[in-house]
Parts: sequence; structure tokens; C-alpha cells
Amino acid sequence: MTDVTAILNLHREGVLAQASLLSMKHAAEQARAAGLAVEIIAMADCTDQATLDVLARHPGVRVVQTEVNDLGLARNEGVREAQGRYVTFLDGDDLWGPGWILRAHGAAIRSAEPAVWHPEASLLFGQDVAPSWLPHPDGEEAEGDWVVLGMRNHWTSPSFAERSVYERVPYRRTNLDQQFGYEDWNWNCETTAAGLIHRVVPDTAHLIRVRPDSMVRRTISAQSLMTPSRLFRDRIGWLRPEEAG
Amino acid sequence: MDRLKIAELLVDPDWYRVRHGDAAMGDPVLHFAEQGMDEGLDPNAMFDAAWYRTTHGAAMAEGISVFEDFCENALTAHRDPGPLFDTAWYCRTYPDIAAAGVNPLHHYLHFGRPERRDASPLFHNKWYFAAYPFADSPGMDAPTHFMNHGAALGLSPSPFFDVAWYGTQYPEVARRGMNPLLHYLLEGEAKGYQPAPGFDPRRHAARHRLALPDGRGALRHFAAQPERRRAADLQAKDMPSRFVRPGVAAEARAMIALVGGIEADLADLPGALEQLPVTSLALGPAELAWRSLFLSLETVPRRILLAGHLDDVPELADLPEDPTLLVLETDGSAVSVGRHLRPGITWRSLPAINPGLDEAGRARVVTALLNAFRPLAIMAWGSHAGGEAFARHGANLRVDARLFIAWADGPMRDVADLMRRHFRRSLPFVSLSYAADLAALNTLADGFGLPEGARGHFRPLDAWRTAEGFLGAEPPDR
Repeated sequence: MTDVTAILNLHREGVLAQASLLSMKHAAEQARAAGLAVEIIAMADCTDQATLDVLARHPGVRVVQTEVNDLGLARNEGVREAQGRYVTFLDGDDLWGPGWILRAHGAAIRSAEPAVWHPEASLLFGQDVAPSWLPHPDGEEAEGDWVVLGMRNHWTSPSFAERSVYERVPYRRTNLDQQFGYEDWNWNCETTAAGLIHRVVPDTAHLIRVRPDSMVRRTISAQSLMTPSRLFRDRIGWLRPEEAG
Repeated sequence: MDRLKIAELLVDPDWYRVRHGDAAMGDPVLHFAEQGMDEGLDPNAMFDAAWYRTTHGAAMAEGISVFEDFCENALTAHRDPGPLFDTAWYCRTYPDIAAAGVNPLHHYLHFGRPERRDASPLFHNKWYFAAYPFADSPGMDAPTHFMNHGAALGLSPSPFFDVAWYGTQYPEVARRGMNPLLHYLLEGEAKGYQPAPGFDPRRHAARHRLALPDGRGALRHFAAQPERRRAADLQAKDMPSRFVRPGVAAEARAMIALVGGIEADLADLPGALEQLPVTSLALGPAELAWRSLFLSLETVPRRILLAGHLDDVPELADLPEDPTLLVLETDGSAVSVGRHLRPGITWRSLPAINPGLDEAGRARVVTALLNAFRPLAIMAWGSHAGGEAFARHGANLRVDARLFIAWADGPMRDVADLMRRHFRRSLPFVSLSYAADLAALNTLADGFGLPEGARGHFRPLDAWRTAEGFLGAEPPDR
């Protein structure tokens, strides 16, 4: 029985994928040392030879090639390949802290409610950016308010949840030509609409690389909006029944 | 129940002494037990003996006092001691009280009030002291300050009841020298008076199918909704600065130590990661305005009309009473009264939500609204925020909606400025453009080098009501 499937999404990261793979393997080793069964899948979507060459140097990684040419849809493909009770994602040029899998798993199994787990903060770094921290709010905090999801995204994409969550709420395709972007923001809205709460795992960090040609920057440049979610149409006139006066 | 026990539960000694006492009163608890109870004196600021008898008299057992009845039924029947204390809400909001089997009013007087727990959804301590910091002092709570001083000063007990506005709308309150909140609770709500602009208690009761005696309780229901109270929290709360905790920085440092050797970008990071800047998560004015706007809506709009200044557009008198229509005032800081709109039309005003919201913020709120609901028709009528949303996101919005723009002068808007800023950028996405002066529109199009073939969707202003326009628009062909 596999406890956790760690999915690395790759496109054409080339040598940058090396550090990401190593960070994933370190996190997997720490989890295995604590007794967890962890599998690693690399989803290579419309990838290039340089990236495949990096993957070839890591025999413990199952490589699955796809041609969906979309980050969200490639994550969905990864979920279909996954065997683990839990799934967690990493994008091909980012890094996890070494305790991510173990701590996220611990938080998830202790939780009484279905939840999506995020790191406490992400460290943004890159050649042309000043490094800074991006904290993640807890969905129960005012800063993580669900209504505000209509205006800003609270959580980055490297999340951790039961595989069934990703099966039930798949990622949507982005279409920057028509200004539909931010697949992770849409997914955060859809999972919220599905009744899941987004929580943070204490003492965890991810390292998010900001590149001039990153998807986020291309999405901003295209003046895209979040791919529409049903959250706000479902919750119009919102009143939690159990707390109605 | 023993009279002394009742007195111990209900008497607020300081309040009782000031309200009923004299220097020779002695112990207020004993006074109430031996004398005040029989005279029907109120034992504390939240107990209104006359109100209690009127409200609960029919359910009371024969021969017992209102005080004894309350002490025996507060926890089980959730009877309120007066209009200012909501027993059921207090127990629901603070479940530790019911779990401990404590009389809720006794708990409030001795523990909840000093801890600034709210006595009813009509009060909001956090909001009150954030709005009126001069009222804040050790030992003071919002209901006490409001009832003793605040109402007379025109302060509101919460964002849900606007004392100054209520006084303006219903001048009888001042003439009779009544506390506006008490007037509303005792008389106004039953008459259908509104407690604040934009809130109609009867409409709220109908919307939520509330069975309310004499129409009373709609405001309480509204203010009890967790999202409303959270909104008040957010208004009141200065978000604390966020710091990255040592454990988080240690995780990042551990990974950098493992892979930094092959990653130049990581090797360049400073050692003291805790000292790197942290992005603030505080909700800004645009986020709070969006939140207020969304939570104020009760149906999903299918047509949205964005008007710069509502009272500036007499043509809107022709809008039909369509429950799926939303009219939003977007620009400026002056709040319209919607005088041109038929009574049944749903309209909101961004200047009313936050008159200080800047232009970029208003455009962000409008964009969030349009993307959240994906209406099938959107009209921007003299609206900078609407024009900006069309210009920036027109390719996206027109996937689900037909977009319309009315370029029209008005006392509070300058059509030349609107056109200069939005005409060229928004035109590629707009189905029809309306203008009072089509010649001016064509001149502008000449100036921008717009080919003749691209001008087929210019229409005179009065054609906006036709079936091909905003009111008759069907979803675009996919």
C-alpha cells in the first residue's frame, strides 16, 4: 500500500529539474525513514531531451510522458497514475523543504476534516527577483477568507491531499489566448466549493523559483483572469445552515 | 427558586445602585431580593421587566415573577431578558456557557462583558472600539458605552445599525428623545423601518423565509450571520505583521544546504532567511469592498449594468424590474440614491461601500464581480471601472457575455475623458457602442484610424433599449 505519491510536473525545465528532483527525493527519504511508502512520478508533458536526460539520472523515479501541453491537465494525468492514498505536487523548477511529505502526511492523518494542505510559507527566489517570503493563510483565518478568493489567490499549487480530492476536483485547462489562467487559483476555489478547507502544515516551506518566462508571469502579461469557478454562484446569499439565527 | 439566589444571579450591583439606589440602599443584592423584585425594578442593564412580561407573559407559569421565570427558563427555553440581550445567540456563539450549565445573563454580566463578548448580534465590541477609539477605556464594553453615551453622540453599536442615518430617516426618534436602537427594536422594526441604508428587514425576512412575529428579528438574523460578523471583524482588525517562524526558515535552509551546491540562485540567498521581507496578507480596501459587495447579493445576476454615477443617468428609468439584473454604481465618492431606478431593481454602490476606494481598486472589484458571476450581458454606462475592465479583460469576458458601452455626457462625468481612456482599448470586444452624438464617435474613430467596416456597431444612445442591445442580449455563440 502506497501512502503518498509525489508528482513532479515537468515541461522543459532542463537542468533546473535536477534540484527539484533532489528536493523531492530528500523529502521522500525522510518520509520513508519514518515508515511511509512513497512513490515518485515525474510527469513529462511535451518535454525536451534535456529534461529527459536529467530524469534518466534518477532510476527511482517513474517517468510518464504526456502530450496534453497543459500544467493542470498534466497534474490530472499524474493523479490517474498515482497509487498513493495521498498525492502531492511539485512543479519542475521548484523545491520542497525536506520535511514536507512527512509533516503534511502527519497533519492530514491527524485531521478530522477533509482538507487540502499547504506549506506555511514559500520562499520566492530567482535570478531577477529580490527573495521574499509568501506566507499561506489558513482557511479559518480572516486572511484566508473564502470570499476574498474572488479577488486573490491564497495558496500556491504544490498542495497535499487525499488522492480522491484530486480525482473529484480535477484541474481545469488554461487558455491564455482567451485570458483564462491561474489553474491553481481555480482549483482552490473549486475545492472550497466542494466543502474542503485549506490548511497550512506548521514548520514547512517550499522554494518557488520565479523565472522571466514562468507561467505566472505569462498569465499576468496576458491580463488573464482566474478560470471561472462555481464557488460564487453556488454560495450566493451564503449562510452556513448550522449557524443561521 | 430562592429570592436571594435570583438576586445573586441577576443583580449588577453598580448599575442597580446608580439606577435605583440612594445612599441608604445598602447591599443592592439584598435590596433587590427583599424589595426591588416585588417592585419590578430592573436588576441590570440587560433586563427589562416590563418588556419581559409583554414578550413572554403568555408562556409564564401562574404566580411567579418575571425574574424567577427567566432564571428557570434562560438555558432551556432561551428566553431573552430584554431586547438588548439575545440568549439563544449568546449560548450558540459561546458554547462553553451552555456546556457549563451557567445562566447566560449571569455569565455575561460577570464574565462575558469584561471579556467584551457581545450581548447580542446587534452589538459588536471589536468594531465599536475600532470605530470609536476614544470610547475605549479599561473595563468599558460597547453596550455600556453605547447606551450611556454613544447613542447620544450619534455612534452606532455595530455596522448593522446606523444611528445617524436612522435619526435622519425617522425624526420622531429624536423628538421623543428615544435611544435609536431601542426605538427600532421596540417599534421601528414592526413598522418596517430600516436600520441602515441598503437593508430592508422585510425583504430580508422574505428572502430567508423567516417566520417573525410582527416582522421583528430580521436585523438580528442578518447580523448573526457569521460572514457578516466576520466582515465587521475585518473592518475592525488591523492585521498583525507576519513573520516567518524559525521552523519555516530552518526547513528552507535545510533544503538549500542539500541542493545549493548545484543551484546558483539558491547559493546567492542570504543566510538569515528570517530577515527576508514577508508579503503582507492583510486584506486591502478592494478586497474588503469585494467581500461586502458579494455578501450583500442574494441572487446571481445574469445582466450587470455598470454606471459611473447612478443618479446621473435618467435613462435608467427604462430598466425593467428583472430579478436577474444588477446595477452597480462604480465611480467617484458621491453616493447616489438610485432616484431613476424602479423600486424593485437591485442596485449597489461602490462609493457607498467605500468612498475612499481608488480607481484601480474599483476596477478590481468590478472585474471580480464579472468573473465570479459570468453574466450574459454587461453594460458600462459612463463607467471608468467598467471601461477599464472591458479594456483589460474583454477577450475573456466576451466568451460568456455580450459587452455594451454607452458613451454619454452627464453632470458628473466627462465623456471625452471616458473615450480618451477606454474607447480604443475596449472597442475590439464590445458588441454595440451607444452615443448621443454618433458624429463625435465617428470623428474619434477617424482619429484612431478605425476602418469603416469596424464601425457597424455604433448606435444612437436611445437605441440601447432595443432587443439587439443589453436588455435583449442572449449568450454569445461559442
